Amino acid sequence: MIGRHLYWLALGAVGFLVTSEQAVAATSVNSIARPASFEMWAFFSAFFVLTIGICVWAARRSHSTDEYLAAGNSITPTQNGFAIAGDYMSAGAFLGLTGAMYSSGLDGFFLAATYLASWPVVLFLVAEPLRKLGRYSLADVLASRVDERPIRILCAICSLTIISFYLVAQLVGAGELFGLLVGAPYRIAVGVAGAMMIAFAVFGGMRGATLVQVVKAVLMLIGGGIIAALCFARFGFDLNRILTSAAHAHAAGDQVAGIRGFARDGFATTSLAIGILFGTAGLPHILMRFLTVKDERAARVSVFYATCLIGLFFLLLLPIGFGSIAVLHGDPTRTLSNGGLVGGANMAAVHLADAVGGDALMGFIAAVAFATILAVVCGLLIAGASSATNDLVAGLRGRPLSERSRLTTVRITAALLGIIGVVLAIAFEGQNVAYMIALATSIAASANFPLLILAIYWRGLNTRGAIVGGTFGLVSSVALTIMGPTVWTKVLGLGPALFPYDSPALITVPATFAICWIVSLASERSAQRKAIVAN
Amino acid sequence: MNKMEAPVHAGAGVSTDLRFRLLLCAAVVTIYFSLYATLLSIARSTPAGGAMVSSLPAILVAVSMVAFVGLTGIFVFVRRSS
Repeated sequence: MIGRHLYWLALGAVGFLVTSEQAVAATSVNSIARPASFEMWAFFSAFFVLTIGICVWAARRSHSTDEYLAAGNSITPTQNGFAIAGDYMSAGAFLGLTGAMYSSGLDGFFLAATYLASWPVVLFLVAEPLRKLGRYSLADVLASRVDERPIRILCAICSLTIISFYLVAQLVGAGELFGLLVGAPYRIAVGVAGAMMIAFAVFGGMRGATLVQVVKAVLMLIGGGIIAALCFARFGFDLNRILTSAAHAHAAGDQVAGIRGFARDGFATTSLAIGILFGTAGLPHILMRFLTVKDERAARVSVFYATCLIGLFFLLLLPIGFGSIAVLHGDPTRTLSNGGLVGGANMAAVHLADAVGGDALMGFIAAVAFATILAVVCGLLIAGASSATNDLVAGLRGRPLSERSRLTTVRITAALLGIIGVVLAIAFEGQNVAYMIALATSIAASANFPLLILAIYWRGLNTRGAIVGGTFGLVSSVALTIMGPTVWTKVLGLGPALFPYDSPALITVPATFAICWIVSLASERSAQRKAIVAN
Repeated sequence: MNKMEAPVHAGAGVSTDLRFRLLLCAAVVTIYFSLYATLLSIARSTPAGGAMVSSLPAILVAVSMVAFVGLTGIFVFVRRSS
C-alpha cells in the first residue's frame, strides 16, 4: 500500500518537474512542430495497448521477488535470445547507430560492428558461470568468492552508476522520439515517456519486460528489413549506388564510405573499442537476463540466438545508414537551418522510414522504437532496483530484507531510479545516444568486468583486492568520463576537456585488473606472514 | 580468505575448456583490430576528393560481423558435439 502511494507520488514528481520546465522547453532547438498522422497514432496506440496488456498480464504473476526480478527462471532460451537481442536493439542501436551513420558514415557502421563483437566475449567468458552462480545480480557471483557485505555494496554502487548512464541514453532517445510523434517539446516528451516506463517497470517486472522485448525484437527486425529493402529498391539494389549518392550528399564526400573519425586517433579508437568489447560483459541489465533461464546450457544457447539476431539487424543498418545520408541530407523538409536533422540526428531512421515508406512505415517504426525503449528502460530500472535492494540495502543492513518488504522496496527503488533518469535525460538533451551508451559500457568494462572475470577465473582474488580494484575502476572511469569532451565540454559547458578522450577504458581496464591482482597478492602474503608470526 | 575456488579455474593448470574460451576470445579481438587496421590503411591510401566511392570498407565490416556470429556458433555447437 505504501509502495503504491510512493509510486503515484513519484509519477506526480515527474509531472511537476516536466510542467515547471515547459516554458524553457518551448524554445528547444529540437522541438518538433510536425503533426502526427493517423497512421502514426494508429500504430502507436496499437503498441501502447499491446504493451499495457502484457504489463497487466505480467503484473498478475509478479507476486514474489523471484518472479518480479528473474521471471521465476522460466524464460526459454529462444525467448531469452529474442529478449537479449531486443535489449541490445535499443534506442542506442537503432536510433543512435543510424544517427551516427547519418552524421559520420562508415564510422557509425564500424561502431555497430564493435557492439556486435562484444557478444562473443559475453558468451565465451561470463554467460554460463554467471547463470551457475547468480540469483538476482552479478554481486551473487562475487559474493560466492569474497566477503559478502562489502562486495555487495560496491557492486550496487557500480551497477547503479552504469545503469544511470545507460538509462539517460535511452530516455534521451525516448524524449526525441515521443517529441517527433506528438509534436511535444523535448522535456515534456521525456517526462511523459519516463512516467509510462516507470509504471511499466513497477508493475510488469522482468516477465513483462521480457515478453515486450520478444514481440518488439520480431517487429523491429521486420521493420528494419522493410526499410532496408525499400532503400535498396530506391537505388536499384546496388550498394555502390547508395554509397555514391551518400558521398554526393554528405559534406565529407567520398570519405564518408571509409573510416574517418576513428582513424584520427588510434588511442581513442582502441579505448572506445576496449570499453565496448568488454563492457557489455559488465552491463547489469544484460547480465541479469542470464538469470531468467533455467540453466547454463539455456544461457549459452540464448546468447547464440541473440548474437544471430543482433548481427542480422546490424547488417540491415548498412543500407539504412547510408540510405539515410543519401535520402535525407539536403532535404529542406527534414533539415533545420543549421544543417541538423529535424528532431536530432538520432531520428534519422524514423525520417528515412517516412521518406521511403510514407506515414504508415514511419508510424510503425516510431511505435516499435518507442516500445523498445520502454522495454529497455523497464529492464534497466528492474536491474537497478534489484541491485539497490538485494545488494546495497542488504549490504548496509547486514542482513537481507524479508520477502514482502523486498518486493515493495524493489518497486519503490525502480520508481525513484526512473525519476532520476528523467532529470538527467533533460540535462543530456541532444547527445548522440549510441555514444552515450558507449560511455556506459566503458564504465562497465572498467568497474564490473575485471571483478567478474577474476572472480570466475582466478582463485587468488580476495576481498581486499576486489574492493580496492573495483573502487579504483569505478572512480577512475567515472572521473575520466566526466572530464572527457562529451560531459565536460558539451553537457556541462566547462570549457576544454581536462581528459582528451571520451572513453578511458584503455587506461582503466588494465589498471583495475593490475590493482586487483597486486592488492590480492600483497594482502594474501601479509596474512600469511601474520599467520607464521602468530604460530 | 577465499570462500570457494574459482568455478572455472578450480584445480591446477589451465583447463581445456578455458583454453578454448580464451582462444575464441583472442580470435574475436584479432578479427576486430585487423579490421580496424585494414580500414585505417584503406582510408589513408584513398586521396580526399577522389572520383570513386569504394564499397570495400563497408563490405569488410559486414563480413567481420558475420565472422563474429560464426565464432559464437562454433563455441555453442562444437562444445555441444564434444
